[in-house]
Amino acid sequence: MTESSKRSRQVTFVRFALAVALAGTAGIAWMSFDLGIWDQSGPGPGFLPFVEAIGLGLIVLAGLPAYRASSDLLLMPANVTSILGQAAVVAAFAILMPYFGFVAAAWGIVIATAWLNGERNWLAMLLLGGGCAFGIQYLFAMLGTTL
Amino acid sequence: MSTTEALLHGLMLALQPENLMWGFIGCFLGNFVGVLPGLGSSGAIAILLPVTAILPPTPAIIMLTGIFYGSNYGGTITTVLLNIPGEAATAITALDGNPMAKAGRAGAALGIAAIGSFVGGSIATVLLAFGAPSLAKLGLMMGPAERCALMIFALCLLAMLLGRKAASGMAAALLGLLIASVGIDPVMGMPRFTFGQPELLDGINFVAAVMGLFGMSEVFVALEQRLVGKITENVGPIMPTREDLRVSVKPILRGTVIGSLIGMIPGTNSALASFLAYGVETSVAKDPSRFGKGAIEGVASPETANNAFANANFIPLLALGIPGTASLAILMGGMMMYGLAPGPFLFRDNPDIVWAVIASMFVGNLILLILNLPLASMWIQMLRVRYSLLAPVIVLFTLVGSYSISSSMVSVWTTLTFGIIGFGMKKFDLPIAPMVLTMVLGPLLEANLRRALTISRGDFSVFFNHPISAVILVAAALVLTFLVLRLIFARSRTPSFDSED
Repeated sequence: MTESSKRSRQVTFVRFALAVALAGTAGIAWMSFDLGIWDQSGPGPGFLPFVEAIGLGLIVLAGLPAYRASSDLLLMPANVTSILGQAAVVAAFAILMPYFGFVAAAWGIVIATAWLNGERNWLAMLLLGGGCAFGIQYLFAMLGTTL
Repeated sequence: MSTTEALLHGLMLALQPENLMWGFIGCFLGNFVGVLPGLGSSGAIAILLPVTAILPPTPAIIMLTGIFYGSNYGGTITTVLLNIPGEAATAITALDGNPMAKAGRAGAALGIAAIGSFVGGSIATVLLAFGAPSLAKLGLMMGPAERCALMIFALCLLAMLLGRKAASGMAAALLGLLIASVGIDPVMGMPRFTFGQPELLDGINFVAAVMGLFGMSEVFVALEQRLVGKITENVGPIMPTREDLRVSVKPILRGTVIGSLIGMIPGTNSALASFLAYGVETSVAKDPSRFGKGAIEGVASPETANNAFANANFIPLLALGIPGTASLAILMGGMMMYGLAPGPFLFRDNPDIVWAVIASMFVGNLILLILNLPLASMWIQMLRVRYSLLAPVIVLFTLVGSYSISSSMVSVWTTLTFGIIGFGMKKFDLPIAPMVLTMVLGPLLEANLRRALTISRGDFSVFFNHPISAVILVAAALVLTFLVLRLIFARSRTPSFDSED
């Protein structure tokens, strides 16, 4: 992919993100309006969120056409697979811990994170994972909290 | 009780074995996490905040403050040795600190930074002890209108200091306010933006969110950048020479004054203090060309200013309930976890805790001087551990900490979500600090604004009928006018003091 097509994709992506943000702020403003902006005793629960959403929307609106000027910003992250992998590992930890318990989930996340960060010494990863998992569990048990 | 008596009473409390031990642990852990590459003091406090949850309020807050300035000290080590500043405030230290390290004088740079930080921190704590109670008395005279005006003023100042990032900073601040409005409305008790989820009735957990914004997002950033720093092999002696000390005396004193003065103003940030201190040094130096090539004054002054700022910034926090930086906003969130609302009432209702915490800052600075002078080599050894082995520990600590806040996976999901948001914000060049500040200030701002308007039956002139709030709002308007004019006329020349701290 050429540099210019990369940039053009990036501009499209950012504009799409800004458009989504604009729609989001419009949605929040609508919900805030629904909550009640003002009554006879003063501002209602929707007053401040409404003002904030309008303010945010205006900033986004101003940023939407202006983005082309600052398109030299390098937004697309490098190592996307590793980043997505890390997010997936954390999500897996949250899903699996209730089923497999803290030690197994912690051991797993330590090994996976180390691997994603470029570690290839399996013995070091296993020892670190075991040490962290059992160490933290012992610490919490000592403090009277279960994980 | 006079201030001196209260301070002595606080010192006795701070020196009690339990408080001393937790203060030491806080300083040690803060220093430890601060040393980790890429993590600033905000990240350190966010990750370690849940650790304090097992303690009673006094040792917990003492430990939290220890973590706060411990991480400041720790960040310097990484900046000097690896040239990886954890936050904007220490970036300026890297200019001369890293060249010193390359020249085999890392020890001297770290030593002078520790001494400067100790002097700056201690003097600023004296200011805090004597300045905060008077400011708190003024704070007690403030009603909802004045408090609301003060928060608006602090946010305007913050926007001004964001320089060329003012628009994105304001967007981040508004986003923080919107996030803070999730949950039960503070005045009428009506649920807002909960989408029928009972977990959201209490709002978005602040601690879990900041752990994501600062802890988890840093892990993503490190993965993207494949963080590898080349540590300087020859560190040299840690104690600065007599000549180093002689040359550094005036920069340390200047850094103390600059850091303390800026720290007292709500809404300012530590990057401004250290950049200004560095700027002053280059302008008063006989040979400014030495700066950027390893001048010890270029380390001494900004590091002193940074630490003086950190301690002086407790004045608006403790006296008025206005946190100046993201780190202090997180610390304020931690205090609120214990039912302690920083602000004028804290001095009146919880004097023991406040004075023990203030006094513990003297003790903490001494502990950190000891940890960072004779034990500096221990921290340096820690930096030799591969990041691929440190990253899993950071991730696990963040997740366990997040889970332990509420013993619920909802916190873990919150941390992950905000980690992704934080990473996205960094990619979009959006500053995180304003968002964190408004997330903690939002509910207070809203409660005070609505109370003031309810009392006046919706009449906005209430803000101008009260002289204090009128003066503060006029000042805020001036700041905003200046900001808008600067954005219009001097866009390209505006320096930015955007800091994630």
